[in-house]
Amino acid sequence: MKSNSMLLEELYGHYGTMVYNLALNYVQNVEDAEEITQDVFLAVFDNLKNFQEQSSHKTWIYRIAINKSLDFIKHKNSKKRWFIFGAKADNEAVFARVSDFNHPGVLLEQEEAVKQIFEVINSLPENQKTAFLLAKLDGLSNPEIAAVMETTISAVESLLFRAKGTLKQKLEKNN
Amino acid sequence: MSMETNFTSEPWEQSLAQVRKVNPSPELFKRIQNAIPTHEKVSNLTVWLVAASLIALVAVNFLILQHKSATATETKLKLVESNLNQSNQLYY
Repeated sequence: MKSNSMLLEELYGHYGTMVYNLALNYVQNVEDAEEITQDVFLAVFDNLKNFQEQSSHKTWIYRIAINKSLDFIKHKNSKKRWFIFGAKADNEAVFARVSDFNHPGVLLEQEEAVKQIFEVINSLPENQKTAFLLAKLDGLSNPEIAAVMETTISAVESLLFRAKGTLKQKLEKNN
Repeated sequence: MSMETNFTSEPWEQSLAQVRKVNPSPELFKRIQNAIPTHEKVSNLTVWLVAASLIALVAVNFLILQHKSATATETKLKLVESNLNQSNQLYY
């Protein structure tokens, strides 16, 4: 029988890049994506005993990665609000680091355009953003997204439809 | 008509399609491995054993203190008694 450390190494080998890229698409920052990836695999390690084979490892790790990314963003946003309105508002250096765009997967000549698109993606409601990122950047099919998000395929179609509509509208307005 | 066909490939969709997948730093897994020992949970059995040991230690301390104070009282009484009974005289 494999030890938990060996199993973790195997899972990281299979899904490490997937988790890292998903986190990167959520936060668009290398340091933050690494922090999220670390949190995800620590959670995986902690819950290996409780993992039930009802879903695949991939679906299970996707769910953990999505939850960790959303939690990370909420935590950062609350920090940001504190920096803006709270007593630490004069700490400009830390605030600048919070909102850095640093996505190594984006070509240099497209950085400005993609940054603008991500700004609109970031303004979408959580479930629309998740469905959109999984479909457009991770290339998952609608049934796969439905399994990860524990919803129906028609709900995923609806989320994607609304997300694309909002993106199209906001990007046209910006241009 | 399905919802999907309402949108043809927009320029922004083409830009997003060019976002590449990247590999995480090779150091990242080492960092995760290093974080595991400090992150490991203490088992419930250990927590209960430690708690029971502490309670037992406090109880033993309490009993020893009680026994000591009882012995001290007894010794004092004996001392007073022996001082009183150095002679058989009741009156000086």
